[in-house]
Amino acid sequence: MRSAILWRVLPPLALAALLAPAQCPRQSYAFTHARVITVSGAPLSGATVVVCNGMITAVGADAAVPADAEVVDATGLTIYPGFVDGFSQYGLPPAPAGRGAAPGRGGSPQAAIAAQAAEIAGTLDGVPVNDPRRYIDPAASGVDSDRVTADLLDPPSGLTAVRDSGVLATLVAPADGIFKGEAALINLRGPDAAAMLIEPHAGEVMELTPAGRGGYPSSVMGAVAVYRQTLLDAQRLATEIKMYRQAGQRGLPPPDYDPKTLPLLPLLQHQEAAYFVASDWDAILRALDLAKEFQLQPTIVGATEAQKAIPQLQAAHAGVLVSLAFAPAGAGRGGRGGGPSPAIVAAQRAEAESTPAALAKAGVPFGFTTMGLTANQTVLAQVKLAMDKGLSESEAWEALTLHAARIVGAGTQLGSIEPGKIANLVVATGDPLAAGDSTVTNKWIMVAGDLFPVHAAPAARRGSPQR
Amino acid sequence: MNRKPSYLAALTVACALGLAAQAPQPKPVAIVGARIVPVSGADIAVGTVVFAGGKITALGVHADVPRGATIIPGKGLSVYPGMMDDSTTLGIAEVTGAAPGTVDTNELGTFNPQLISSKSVNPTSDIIGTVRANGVTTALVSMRGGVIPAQASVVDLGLYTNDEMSVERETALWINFPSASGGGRGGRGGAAPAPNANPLRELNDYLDAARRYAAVSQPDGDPRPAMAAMKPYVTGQKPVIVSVTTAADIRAALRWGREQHLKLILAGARDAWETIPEIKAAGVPVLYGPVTAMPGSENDPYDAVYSTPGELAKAGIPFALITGSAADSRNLPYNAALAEAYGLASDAALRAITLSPAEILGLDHDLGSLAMGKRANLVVTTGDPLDPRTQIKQVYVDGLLMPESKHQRLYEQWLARPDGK
Amino acid sequence: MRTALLSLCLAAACIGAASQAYPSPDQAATLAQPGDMLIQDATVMTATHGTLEHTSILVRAGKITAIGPSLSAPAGVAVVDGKGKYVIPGIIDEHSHTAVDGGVNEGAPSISAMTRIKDVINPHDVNLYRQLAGGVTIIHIFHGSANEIGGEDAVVRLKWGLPVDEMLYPGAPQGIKFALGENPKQTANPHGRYPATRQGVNDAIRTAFLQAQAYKKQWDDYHAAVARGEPVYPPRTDLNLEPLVGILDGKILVHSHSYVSAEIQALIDDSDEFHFHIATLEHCLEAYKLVNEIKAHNIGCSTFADDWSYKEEAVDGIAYNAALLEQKGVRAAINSDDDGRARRLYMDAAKVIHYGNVSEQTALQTITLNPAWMLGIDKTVGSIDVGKDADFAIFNGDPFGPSAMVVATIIDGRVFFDRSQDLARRKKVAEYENLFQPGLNLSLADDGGHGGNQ
Repeated sequence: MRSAILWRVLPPLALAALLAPAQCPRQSYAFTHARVITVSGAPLSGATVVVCNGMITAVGADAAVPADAEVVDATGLTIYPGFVDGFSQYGLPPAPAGRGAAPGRGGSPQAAIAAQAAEIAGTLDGVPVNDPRRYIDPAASGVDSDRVTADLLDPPSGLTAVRDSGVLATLVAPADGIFKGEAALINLRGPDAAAMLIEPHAGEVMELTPAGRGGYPSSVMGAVAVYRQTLLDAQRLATEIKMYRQAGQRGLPPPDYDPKTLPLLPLLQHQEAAYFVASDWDAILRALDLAKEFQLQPTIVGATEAQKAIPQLQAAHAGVLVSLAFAPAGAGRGGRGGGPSPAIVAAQRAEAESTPAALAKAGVPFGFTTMGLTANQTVLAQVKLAMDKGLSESEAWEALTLHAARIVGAGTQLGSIEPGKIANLVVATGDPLAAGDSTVTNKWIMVAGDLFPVHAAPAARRGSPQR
Repeated sequence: MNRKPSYLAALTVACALGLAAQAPQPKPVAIVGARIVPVSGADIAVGTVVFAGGKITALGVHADVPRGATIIPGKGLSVYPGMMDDSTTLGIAEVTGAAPGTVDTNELGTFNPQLISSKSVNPTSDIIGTVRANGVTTALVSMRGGVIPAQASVVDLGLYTNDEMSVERETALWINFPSASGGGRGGRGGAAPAPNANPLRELNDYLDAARRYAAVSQPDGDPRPAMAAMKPYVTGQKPVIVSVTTAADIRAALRWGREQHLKLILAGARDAWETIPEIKAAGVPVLYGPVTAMPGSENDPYDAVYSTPGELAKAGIPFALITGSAADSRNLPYNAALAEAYGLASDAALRAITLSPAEILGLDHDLGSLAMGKRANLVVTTGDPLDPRTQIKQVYVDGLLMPESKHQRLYEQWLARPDGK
Repeated sequence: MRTALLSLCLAAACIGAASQAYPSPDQAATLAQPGDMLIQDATVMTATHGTLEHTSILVRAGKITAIGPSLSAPAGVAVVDGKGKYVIPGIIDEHSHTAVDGGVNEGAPSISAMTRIKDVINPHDVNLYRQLAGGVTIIHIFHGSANEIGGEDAVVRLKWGLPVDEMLYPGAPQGIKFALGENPKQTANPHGRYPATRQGVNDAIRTAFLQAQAYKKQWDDYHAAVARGEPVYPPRTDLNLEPLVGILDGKILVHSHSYVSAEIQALIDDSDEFHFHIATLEHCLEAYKLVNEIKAHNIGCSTFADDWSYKEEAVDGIAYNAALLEQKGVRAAINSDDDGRARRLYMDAAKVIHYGNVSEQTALQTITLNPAWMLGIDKTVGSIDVGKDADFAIFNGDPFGPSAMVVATIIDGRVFFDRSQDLARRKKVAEYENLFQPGLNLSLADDGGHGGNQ
């Protein structure tokens, strides 16, 4: 099945190798005479990178080229680790309209009509309109903790554009909801979920925002209440499980295994990472506070104004995944003071671009995310904006690769060119972050040992259909 | 001067002519021994003011008191001209939030110059009573919706009938200037303007049509009242009040008024502080307010609006203060106080709510100060009416003593409720 | 003679980060202030013991330590020249929705007691600064009025530039918002929300309290079982009912949005039935019609100076409401409920004199001591008395007069607003805006303060 897809995408050169007998269970490659930006160590020149079984097996000037390896002469070319995108929806099907909406809770026109009919009848979902369950104990929407991203993966053809930009691995979870569900860490390749998954249990992604589906919650403070109630419920389930086991599973009824709270137990027990989507200063502080309330170890995703919260981020030992969109915080931040002037908005954008440099200077570990990237923004161009504001070349490389990998829990698997790591490589005509070099184009992309040729200059590529 | 008008006769004549008629004052009144602040002249430390037939007939340290006049002892009190608010919805908007039946501010359609704003002013509006009780005796009433909501009208906040309250029905044309940043304001129930709509061009086309109409003599009874109504405005005979807010719109409106050869007055003009030189150069008066408005942008100075009247005065730009409200019109003197606190001289603050609003509308021969022959709109106070602690003792409109407001009435009624156990 | 407030906060003047709106906070400079000062030779309106001419106030470590005619500054304590100036207690706005992020109403359920304003305060909302410039030092931030029982409130000091935790008034009792009448009954919802009448509003509140009582019993039963050594699971913690239990236990103050006398009467009846106390009626435009009953229940009334007629339930609102309540022995506060109006509450307090001719001290209390009492913090703030927080609004002259302007606002003995500083800073912002071009690499860092205000 995998060979079928390779058949179509590999050039004749690789085809020949595929047919040859192999020591590796899968195709092995050797990129020779390359300049290698390892990120984990100093750049190498005239080096060889050997890939076997989808992993890097040797790196260095004196690395032996296996006899069965397909040799790619990389003379004059530069190899760097694939970028690790801290949070995206790549590989997920587009959210259908009204997805997740409970019957009668807004969304589709049919649902609205049904709701209207129910209202005339004085009931909704079978519950009379004047029943206290309706107006005192509302069902919350946006609690999608029972959603498993790994089950939703559906690699579309659009991945090529993303891959060609250098992003080869990413943390993914659906964008909507307060509890967005179990995230997955994936490689950006096909043909199926199995080929993509690096880690199917990659943490819970949360956002303190109205669910946007009508109903409860309709406000940020309501979203906070839903967050708090859900985790309290999860704590209670944990207590019940513990008591039940201690009682020898007798004398007490079995715990109330709620499908929404059960998946959150690893989160509460620090067996799983907690990601909070928060961009504005206030949202970041709020997320840190609410993580602390449940002793969660937070990673902030978005983090546009993170440089204003550096002391709090440091105190919380929080990871940071900075959105490369550098979107200004916008008018009034929900206040009603009138918006800022255009000059202030422009200055906010400039400040957002300086966030990575400020975090680096303060020693706050951070990676990047493509979250919010618009159609006319590219990863490299955005990183260069941050470099214009003082982010050094080495800090930029780390944020794009190794630090992002560590923050998403894959520091041993991704983010650098070292033996033992997943072979996510970009072979380019030069160093894309080197000062003054804007002519670098990518020639080859390797994702977990699968080699893809690049047909067009990545600079010309715009975004991705997945955004 | 001591004529005795027949109330009925006056009313009959007024109705027959279709004219507004001032309410008749049956008996002369003299306020004696008070401090008198005429605004159009020097303060009189202790003096007398006399009014009869609804007009001021004598004023001075030693004014003659006519025989039979009601004498009001003014010792320790001050007499001021009634205040004038040049932008209100008084009498046409009573319970704005919940009772559409009491609101006549927004008509359907974009251009409604044929509408006369004061035609539905309710003389028994409770709001009018409370506004009057604070010393505001005259108001420009204007409708609100669309680009041309109506013609604005000057009314005296008197007692009995719509006709008697009317000072001038067709005072000025009100235009909600189509904002460069968001199109015109739609009429009530109107759909949002089409994306490619150009409300300013539509307005210009409308003015062009009105000019073509005005250039040709029209037969009596021509069935196009809107076009007929536009004539004095497109020919520059009467003022056009243009409601604007932002600096960009102020600049655009000034340019537009020049191009259209209109007798322009700016209203609202929140961000006038950013456009003082342009307004000065255009020679356009400003109806500024409310002074209580918030600054437009979060990085504007916190007192940008409070301090603008002082800036207008400093630049020598003619201006008056407005509330743009109905219920809040009673805060006109406190709008002036805010302006005073942030840089407007005390006498200029008083002038901005008395004589200046009359002057800007060309009605200062009749209104706005205590002077011989002007309407007897007077306020008797315990002191400076801009000081919120000051008590308003009496208010006269067209020479008639006004009754207490609904608020005063309810206060007295419930103050008298016996205490509980 | 203007030794001025300036010397107290030299560094507070500068533009911090370039993206900040002009009243940018400078946290470090604020925190560097010691909280000590001597305000000398001012007219002091105490709110408890009249107006004192030529009086000095000594502040040490944020508290008022002495008030008298001839105090001298201990070594190291800065002197503020108060000559010609009026000092009043910091203004407390008893009803505010300022600085709430992401919606002031959780409008989906009728009972939204599970929400907390403290979770969503935006300390950078420019309106906080604008209100500070109007002499306000404490605001009582409420959930909106779309819900019969709304969320928990926050009592916030306007310590512009400091984090939310520093802004919350220490030890202020927790309060909660109730709402009666048109707003809760008319709150739109895609599929209709019970109730839609005042009778229904009353039923929703009663039902919620009945549920809270049952919930409380669940927990009591649980604790009893645990005490007996029985193995039982704990009940579910219900965030929507917890605050109601707090009300029943007398730990949470009830502040109820209300208009007409009948709905106020109905809530008072509920409070008798469920044995809870109503701390304040908010707006309560018809409170004057129920003054005996309100007085008998020791309820405060927090109302507008003169706002009325904007909806049906406001048509009998009278500007004399506060004065009449005070004259009949009910404590009244004048609140803003509005970002704009909050900037001039001193003027609204003066209107209580205009409408009803109360004394200046009574008028002053409506924006200082009375709201402090309603919030349960009057032991520490709300008047100029020895031992209380050094929260002041300093005016250029008589605060109730026609040219009243706040020149400085002080919280805990620290200057958080200084008009002369503001004027200097805004000039700098104007230059900055003129210079600014998008794409320019800005480095408008702190340049180390400004000269004096000559």
